Amino acid sequence: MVDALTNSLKIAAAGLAAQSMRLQVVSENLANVKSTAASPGGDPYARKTITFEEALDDADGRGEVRVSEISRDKSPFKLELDPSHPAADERGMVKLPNVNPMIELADMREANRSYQANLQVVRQSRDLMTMTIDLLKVNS
Amino acid sequence: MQLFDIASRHRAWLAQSQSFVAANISNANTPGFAARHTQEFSEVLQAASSRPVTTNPAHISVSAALTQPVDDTSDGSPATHSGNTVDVDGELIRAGEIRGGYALNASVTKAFQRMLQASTRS
Repeated sequence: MVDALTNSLKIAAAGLAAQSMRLQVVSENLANVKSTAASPGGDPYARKTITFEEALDDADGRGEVRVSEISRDKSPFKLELDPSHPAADERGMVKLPNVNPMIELADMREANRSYQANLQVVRQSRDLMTMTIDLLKVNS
Repeated sequence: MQLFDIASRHRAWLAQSQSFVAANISNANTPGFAARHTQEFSEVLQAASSRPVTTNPAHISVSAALTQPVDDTSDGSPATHSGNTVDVDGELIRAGEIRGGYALNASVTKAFQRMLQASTRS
């Protein structure tokens, strides 16, 4: 059985890792907002989505968070008329990725906020440990 | 030396609460996750004072059961569509309370320890 404060540090670290993975997915989506297919009529970049799940560590009894899966958004692609585009089909339509920058930015803010909350937990757990250690100080 | 015992129990309880707060915050975006908290300290203390005496190491300890989590049923309404009941702001407030309690605990322990030292030093 690990100390509860060490446990909370590990849990918060798992939270930080999960949220940074989420930020990575957001940045991939934003970077590929205009990535079309290489061949005419092909499918462009499909938006990635990320989901989390609780992972129970039986040995220490702590409920961490981990990335459950990174899947693709199955919503339809945007169509745009651009006959000169290399990925245009015979009707001159180009399929654009189903990425909405506004949704991605909102997701980024949310990930940011969760990351900050986890950081706060790390900071506080460390402070609590310091308070305990300070009991050993001779003059304080 | 009962004060040291209570202080150490309180500290263990605070550390456990901190670990639950950490789990709740880190799972703030997990679908279907229900927030968990520790029992009130008074309940823990009461259960501890009325527990059976262990005279043999083979006796089953009940102290592990004292910090069992209780699911958060304070308002009962999931805030999000995904069924997640974590309220990050509430958790941070709780974390602040834990911090205050921990600081108080450390100060009291320190003061009592100094008292003890003053009386034992000749």
